[in-house]
Amino acid sequence: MAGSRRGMTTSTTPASGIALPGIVLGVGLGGFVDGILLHQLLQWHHLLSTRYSVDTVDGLRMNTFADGLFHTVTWLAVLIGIGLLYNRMTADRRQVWGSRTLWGWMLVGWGLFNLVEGLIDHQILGIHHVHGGPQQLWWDLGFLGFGAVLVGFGWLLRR
Amino acid sequence: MNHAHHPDGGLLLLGSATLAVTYELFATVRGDWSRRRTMSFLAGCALLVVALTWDGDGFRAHMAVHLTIGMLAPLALALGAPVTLLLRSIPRPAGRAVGRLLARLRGVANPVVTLLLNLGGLTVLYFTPLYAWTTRHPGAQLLVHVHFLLAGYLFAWVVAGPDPAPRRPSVPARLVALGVAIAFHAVVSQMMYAGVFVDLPVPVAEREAGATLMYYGGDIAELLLAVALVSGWRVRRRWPRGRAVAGPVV
Repeated sequence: MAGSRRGMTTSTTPASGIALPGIVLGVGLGGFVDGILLHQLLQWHHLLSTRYSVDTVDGLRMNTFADGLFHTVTWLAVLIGIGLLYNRMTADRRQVWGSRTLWGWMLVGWGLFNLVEGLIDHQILGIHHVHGGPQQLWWDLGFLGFGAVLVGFGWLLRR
Repeated sequence: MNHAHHPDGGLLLLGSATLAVTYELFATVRGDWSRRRTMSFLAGCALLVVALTWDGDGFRAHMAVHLTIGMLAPLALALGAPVTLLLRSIPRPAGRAVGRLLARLRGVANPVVTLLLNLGGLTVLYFTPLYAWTTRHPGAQLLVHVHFLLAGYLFAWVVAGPDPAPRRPSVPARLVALGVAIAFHAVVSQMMYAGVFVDLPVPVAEREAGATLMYYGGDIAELLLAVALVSGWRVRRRWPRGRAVAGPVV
């Protein structure tokens, strides 16, 4: 009986168990970094800034609407990530939040956000660039590179 | 328009100071009370004092005060767990009376009611002539402040704790409540920015600045609330699915 009890607490949360919540949470928080830092504080780009000019009222309205959708998706990812994590938790919360596994998967999620956003939105659809201008390709590549580094670093950290 | 020195705000100021002193007194007497909780509660009182004495003018200043009184201060106060401190400090019979009082709050301490109080309050304030009215009547403005302070405190308490609550809903249910609050807050601030349906007799630039502050300030306050929820949750005692068969334990 004592053994079973120890078994339950030491194998707190199996690594695969928190991979999904970690990644979803990371995607959401990565979206927040993009949304708050790049869209709002620096105003480098909006979601549709290549398609609709942000210098006209209609264009800005379209971008604000799209940013609103983006905002919703980001929040949903954060809340769903927290919910998933809660449902899979079998250990003390301090153990879970302090675990390298969770933070590793969250970094992977953030990196995946950058990679997907960079490949689909910047390269394939071209709906906006990280920092429009003559050097936009380098900014976009830097964004992708940063994403790849995050995924790699998170992957190493999670072990 | 300047409502920096509204006379009736003094009542709230006095209330915040009294709360802070009483809390500190109880915490000092107990001795083993968490410093983190004390800091949080005192920070909440300090935020209230700053918001009430804020020497700002116009709609943007109103929004800063509104966010502080309705979202940030209540969260900081709730994280101070004042009811737990009270229950530990007073004699048992008095504690039982407080417990009975808390049980009576069952009707209010539920996510749907607290959401209605907060979101309904927002709707009435910005979509009816109430806002214009409060700029002319300091008494009405004080009542609005008190409403948002109480409604915000109830919401933070129900969603994040840490004080005991009667029949607190499950974590997923609380996450849904938080999601509804976030969505509503964002929609109201975007409608305010666009000037759709709102009843705000203020210059366009000021309205836009206020709406922007509401949008991002609300986000930050709600992220903090989510962090508070996460930091206070308790794990249900149960076996993880599938382990009974697959785990090495059996």
